[in-house]
Amino acid sequence: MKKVHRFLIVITLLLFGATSCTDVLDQKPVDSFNQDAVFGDIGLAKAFLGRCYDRMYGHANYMSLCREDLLDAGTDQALCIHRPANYAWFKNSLGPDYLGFFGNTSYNGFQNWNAIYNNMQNTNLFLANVDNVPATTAPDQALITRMKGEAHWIRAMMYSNLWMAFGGLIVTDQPFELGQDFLTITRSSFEETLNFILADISTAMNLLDDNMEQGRASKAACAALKSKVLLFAASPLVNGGLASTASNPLVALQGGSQTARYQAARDAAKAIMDGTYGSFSLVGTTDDPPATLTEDDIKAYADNYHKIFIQKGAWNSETIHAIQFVAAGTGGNYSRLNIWHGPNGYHNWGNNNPTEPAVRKFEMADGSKFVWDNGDGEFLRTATAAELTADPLKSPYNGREPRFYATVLYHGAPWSTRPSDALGLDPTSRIQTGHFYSSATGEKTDNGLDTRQSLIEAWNGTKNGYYIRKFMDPAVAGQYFYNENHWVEFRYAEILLNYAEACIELGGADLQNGIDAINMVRNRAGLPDRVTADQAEAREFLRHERFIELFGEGHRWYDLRRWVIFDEVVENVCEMKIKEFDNGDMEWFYDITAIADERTWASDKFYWAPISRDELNKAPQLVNNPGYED
Amino acid sequence: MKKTPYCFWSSGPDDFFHKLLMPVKIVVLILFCGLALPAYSLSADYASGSDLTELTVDDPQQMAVSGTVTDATSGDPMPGVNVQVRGTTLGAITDVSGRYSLNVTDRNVTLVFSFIGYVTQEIPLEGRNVVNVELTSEVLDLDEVIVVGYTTQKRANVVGAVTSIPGASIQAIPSASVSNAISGRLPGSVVIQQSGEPGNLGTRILVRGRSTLGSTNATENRNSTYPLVVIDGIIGRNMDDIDPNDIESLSVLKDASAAIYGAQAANGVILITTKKGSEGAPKLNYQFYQGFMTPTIVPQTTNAWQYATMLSEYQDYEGKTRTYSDADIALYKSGADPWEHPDSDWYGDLIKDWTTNFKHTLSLDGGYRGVIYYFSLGFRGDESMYAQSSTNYKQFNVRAKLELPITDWLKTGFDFAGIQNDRTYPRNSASSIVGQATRLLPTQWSFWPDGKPGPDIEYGDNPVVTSTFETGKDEQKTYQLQNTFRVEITPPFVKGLTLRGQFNYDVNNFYRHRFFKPWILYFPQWETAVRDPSTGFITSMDLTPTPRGLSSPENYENYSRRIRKTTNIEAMFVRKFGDHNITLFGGFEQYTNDANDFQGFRKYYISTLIQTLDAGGDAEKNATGGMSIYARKSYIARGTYDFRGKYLAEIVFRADGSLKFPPEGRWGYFPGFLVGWRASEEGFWKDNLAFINFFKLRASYGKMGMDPGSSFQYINKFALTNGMTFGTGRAIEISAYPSSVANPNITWETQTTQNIGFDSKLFRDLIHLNFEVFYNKREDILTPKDASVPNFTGLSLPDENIARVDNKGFEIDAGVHKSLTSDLRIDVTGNFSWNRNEVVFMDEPERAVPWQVRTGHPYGATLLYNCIGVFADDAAVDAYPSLPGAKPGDLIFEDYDKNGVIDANDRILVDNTDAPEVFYGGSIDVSWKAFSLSMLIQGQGKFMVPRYSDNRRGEAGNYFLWQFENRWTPENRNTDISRAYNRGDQYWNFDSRRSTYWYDNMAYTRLKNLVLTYTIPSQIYKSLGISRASIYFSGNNLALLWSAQKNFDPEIANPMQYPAMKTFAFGANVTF
Repeated sequence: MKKVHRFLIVITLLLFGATSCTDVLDQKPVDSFNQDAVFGDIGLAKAFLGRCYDRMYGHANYMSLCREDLLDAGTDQALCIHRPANYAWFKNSLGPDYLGFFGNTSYNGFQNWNAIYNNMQNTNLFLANVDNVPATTAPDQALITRMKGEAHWIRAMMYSNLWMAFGGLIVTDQPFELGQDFLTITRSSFEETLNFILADISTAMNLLDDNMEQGRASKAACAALKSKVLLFAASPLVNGGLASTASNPLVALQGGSQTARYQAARDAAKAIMDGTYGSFSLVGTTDDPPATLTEDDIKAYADNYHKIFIQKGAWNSETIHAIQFVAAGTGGNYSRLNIWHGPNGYHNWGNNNPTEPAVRKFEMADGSKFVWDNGDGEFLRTATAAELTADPLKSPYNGREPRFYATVLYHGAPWSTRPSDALGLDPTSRIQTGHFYSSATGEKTDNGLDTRQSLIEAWNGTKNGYYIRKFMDPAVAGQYFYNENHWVEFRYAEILLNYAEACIELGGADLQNGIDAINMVRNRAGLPDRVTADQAEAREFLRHERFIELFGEGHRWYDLRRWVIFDEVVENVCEMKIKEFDNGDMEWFYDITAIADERTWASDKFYWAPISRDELNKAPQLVNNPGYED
Repeated sequence: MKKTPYCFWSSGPDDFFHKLLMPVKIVVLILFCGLALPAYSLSADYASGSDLTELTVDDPQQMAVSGTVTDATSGDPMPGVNVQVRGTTLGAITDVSGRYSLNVTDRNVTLVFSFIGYVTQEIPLEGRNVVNVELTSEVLDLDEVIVVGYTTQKRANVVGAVTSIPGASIQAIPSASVSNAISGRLPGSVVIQQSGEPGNLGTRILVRGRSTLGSTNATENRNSTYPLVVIDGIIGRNMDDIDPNDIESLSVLKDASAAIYGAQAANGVILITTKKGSEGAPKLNYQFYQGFMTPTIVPQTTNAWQYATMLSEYQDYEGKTRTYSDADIALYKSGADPWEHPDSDWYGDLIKDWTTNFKHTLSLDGGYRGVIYYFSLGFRGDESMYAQSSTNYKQFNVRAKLELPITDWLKTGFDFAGIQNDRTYPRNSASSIVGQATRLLPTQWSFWPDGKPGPDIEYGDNPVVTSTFETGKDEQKTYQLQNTFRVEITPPFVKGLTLRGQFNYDVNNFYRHRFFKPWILYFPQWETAVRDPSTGFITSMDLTPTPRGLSSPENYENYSRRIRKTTNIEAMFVRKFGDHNITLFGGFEQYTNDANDFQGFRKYYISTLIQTLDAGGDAEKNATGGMSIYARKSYIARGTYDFRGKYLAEIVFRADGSLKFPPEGRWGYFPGFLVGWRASEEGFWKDNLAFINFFKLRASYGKMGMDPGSSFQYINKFALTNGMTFGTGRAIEISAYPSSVANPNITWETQTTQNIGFDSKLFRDLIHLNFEVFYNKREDILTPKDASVPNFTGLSLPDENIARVDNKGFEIDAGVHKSLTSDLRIDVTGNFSWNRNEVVFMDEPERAVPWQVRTGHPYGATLLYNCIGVFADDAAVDAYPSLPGAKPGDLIFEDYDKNGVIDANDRILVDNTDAPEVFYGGSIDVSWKAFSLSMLIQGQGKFMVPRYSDNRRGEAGNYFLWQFENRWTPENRNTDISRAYNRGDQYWNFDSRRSTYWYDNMAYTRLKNLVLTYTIPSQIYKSLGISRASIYFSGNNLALLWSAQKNFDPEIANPMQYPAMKTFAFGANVTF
């Protein structure tokens, strides 16, 4: 029996040793917290609002249009060399089964329905719960109010972005819940969506502080959004300008007065110009420029303009809202504008290249039009070295308006020092999009470093002879470093042009106000005034000025749609062929037979983006946009 | 380009002989020690023990023992059997008639009879002078005990579908991982190697195919299809961390027998048992091999003139400016102008012909008065194929197993293992280095004619340099400690009862240090070129060394720690009541797995000498980290019953409670029922079917689970991360985000398994034939219900237990075993498995056309255009529907719906997936006198994967040779290879319209491995104290006997991945 006792003692010890006091299954997560915690703590609630900000464009890093693929490569401004097929409206391939640019969330996409709606849910969740966040002190209570304002602005931004692409949306100010009946939810009309956006903007304006931290929602950002939205709502596209869709409430306003809408747009812009939301002005001088610009003048005007896009610290007076980026490795949002846009001869990806017809639109420094001057309809210039010395304007790239030099990199343009491996090939660090020829034999001797025949990463070379300079920071070596310059989302020049457009469309007494606003933008850029009393001519002036001033910033796609002129401007993108001879002779030739990208405007249905097949399958009650219904 | 001598970072000559010499030295050393050990140290150690003194050689009580050894099955005498007196060096070898004789010094010694391929028998002499022995073949031994989960069973009594192989069958195979070495040996298990990179073979294992949704590409524990691996009863250990020499046996539970592992068992269970010692004097064993490796197949790319020709063709077709003139092409072809018209063989320059691997294992075991010990020390290494040695993998193992009896009813045991894995890689991954080697343009310079490395294609990519440590090092070190303490009580007052307690503590530390720096490439200075006046070709030129790849040195350091604790309390009751045999087993198991990790990053190091985090610059830095917990509690039971070994029944049961699931639904119950009938024991069978000397029919039904995914999916979880940047000082806002959306009802996937099979042996064990057929229903598979929740809701959908996949198949395992003469024995075995799964439900969104509905197809069926050829000419383009812009030489897509238009609706579901439905192996084992040969042939059936998915070829990348040869040209119109193309420009490119053109069948049959062993006659070394010595040659991936595509290794199935290696190894095995 003694043995049994001994044995039992051992067993008891064993069992005791093996059984722990706490139940291992009864533990809380160690790496996360739950929703109650988020809305039970003002710090976490603010962090959740941070998420709403972070995803307001559908992606954590690719903010707004600051992406590898520019939205303007889907217009007559530029060509995206790596993914031209993504701009499906040019390729007659856009449809519910293929959304192209709209089907992607990352660097090669924009206005992604799924991703933006996903953040809409976050924002609605925030707004539905923020009032329960404990806030006893006055600063905390003020923070709650302010954060609500921010959330309303974020929601307005998200709805407006989708609305301008898709038309009437599914509109809700409440978070969805699993298990809800989703099959009865339908799209609101274009007008209802507009009103929802305007209501959000108005609520945000009431709740936001006068002095918001740079980068957050602000009253001025609300006002700028309002100006943009109201101008869109006043535009021909949604006011019967596209006859085939005029009666479809999903993509057109029904009834009401277009004039009243232009007035509203005018007033919204004017309110900002009047300083209601803070003092904004164009950077640089808006005085009349000298009658003749020297080369230094041109450079000074160009640099002044270019600085808007490479700001890093506190915003300048023109910036109403911008998105800020930080260096790689810090964990914050980054952009790679230099590597995205820069030439292959700098080990960059050369992705969005201005087209020759776009480059052609930049005026001469005196405000006259640039013309290919052979008069035979060919886009050709030749000049010997002697001729060029005698008359530098023989080069198509000399004597152009300042913004040309800030916006475009062309053959011969000075740019930052070549990377060390290419410095031996080009010690002067000038862009080489042309080829080098022997004057003796007429044979090609070398390929430009920034061409598609370059020794360096030829596949990233421009297909059409240009690179975009505007967003690139010359101090950044794109192959190694990320950009830290802000992406300017709203700036004062846009507001002036919004104002000018509304005024010109209203005509009459307003027209001269519009011309004056255009001239402010022109004078700042070093160009002389426009003078006209003719509404049609004024409209052309306005459209030209938007094209040049806002080049690449993501307005052109909306403008072409708003004005219903996509079909008028679509043409193939062709190659610019440049020969530089060893004796200094030059030849510039835009060869319209050498097609770099075939483009067509096959149907007016492409004025609106389609809702994807996938979404329609899940929600068959949704009506697709005109032309995509099948 | 010809390979040039290049010694900028020379790491010394790659000394073939040095490597060969080292093991030889070790053998000599061991021989020396082996002589000394028995004579000095061990006898000294045991001198105080009383029993051993009786063994001293000069004891006068000598007596002669003799006998005959015969084969238990055939009755034939067995020559060459090693007969040894346990604990001594005394022994003899049987002669031609199987007879032996020897003198012993003690009447009570134990004789050990061993012969390769047979079960070693230990027979106490007990005073006899004649001991006759029948040895039974190892492979089919009915008394063999196999591990079936928590307990062991005699093979004859196993009623589950359990496959088992002895560790010995994989020990000599020169493969760097255990998982890779078992391929083809286990019926019902698909084992595919996904890379040949040292330390990173990425072996994929599927037991009975794929029964669930989800990727199979990741390796162990990271996906929902990998089987559960249990090593010495502990879940969560990695089988590749074990030295194959330490493996006693490996079993796979495939049917309801796996239900004993409950909620984790649905993908099958692999059980590995490591060796323990055996009673007797210390036995020292040393085994080594030195292997020489070369890639099985190096994918061929076009050379310079071929590439320039093909690209020019494309540019001509499209009216684009040509990159290369005809004169250029002629110069590439002639090779007359290497400075300006090089012909680089990037892959050839990247690799060397032969590289090496090796393994050394030293083990010591023995026992005395119940104290049994086993120690082993293992060291193995695997070098890369890169010409400049860099990537390498090393593994160090220490393992100890001790059994320590305390009293006659109390036994304790302690297991310890220490494992260190060192992986060292250059900055770029193998797939990047090798992939780039197939991509870089042959018209650029891998090396300049003067031997300096050429410029990069982009990002510093020049594989001849990025494959070296010039780019910095990625050092990954895993340190593991595995400790188990056991207590076993056999209460003397309950006969047949055993109680066991076990506590296990595994620590896994991982440290990764990635210190990268810019590397130097050489760029041309054309203006310095010296030209040969007669030809105009450059004869020499200055080159500028230029740092590329990174702007400054940068450092990432990771540290992570994982602690697994397992506690088991078990009771086992084994009793025989007349003809009724009963075993009962009950147990409790608790498992916890806690992990945390952090990572730091800095750059702008002013020097590469100090590579610590604090030495970095302040401009860019980052620190991140995380934590996770997991816990499980389980109650386990098994009962078996048999009547005279004839009628067999077994019930297994497990209740699992998992931290992953909500408290109210946390517990799951997994039963299994198995029955067996050994019909060959019946009288009628013996009367009528005696030629089938063994027949056992088995059937099982059970339920198992699978609990993939992270813990706490039942709670709406939020986590913190970086958000946008605000303020003029640009501070990064912290953002809180919903990291997972709750599914309050989340639970495991369940699988019901039905299995019927039989084991049989015919003609007195001459033939064995086993067969299994199974049907698995996997339900409650976690997948989002995305078909019914529109995206506009913005709801991130939780995984819900909704999908269902059925899987069925069969396995055959057969063999012939015959001793042809007394010297010659042959075993031929083969196994074949087939399975097919079908998605029964997956909440699939509505599809445009019925033939694109995935439900009803195997999981992983791919939606592809069906490429039915290449347009021969314009007439062919006009004659068949095509996409806009189609030209002669473009691919013809089948107009599946015959509506005259090629559109998305023409895509069809191709049912051949990346999980082969057929997998087979066959082995031949021959032993003749002192030689034995073991050979394994292995293969797989149709396995469809993209031949590659690189969209850069054309202007930005080289073509493969198979795209060049027989491509469409205006002169070669009738072909199935497309015309020259560029990147993603054609409508039929891989990215925009994926078609069957880009997919290849990876079916193959290969000579997987071969081991030829020669046992050196013991007379030669007996006097040295060596009891057994053999040398062997072995090989792995030796020959591809047949392959559906021949351009790259079909098992790796990707020409841009590190290829599989063919290995030849020489080794020796010495036992003292």
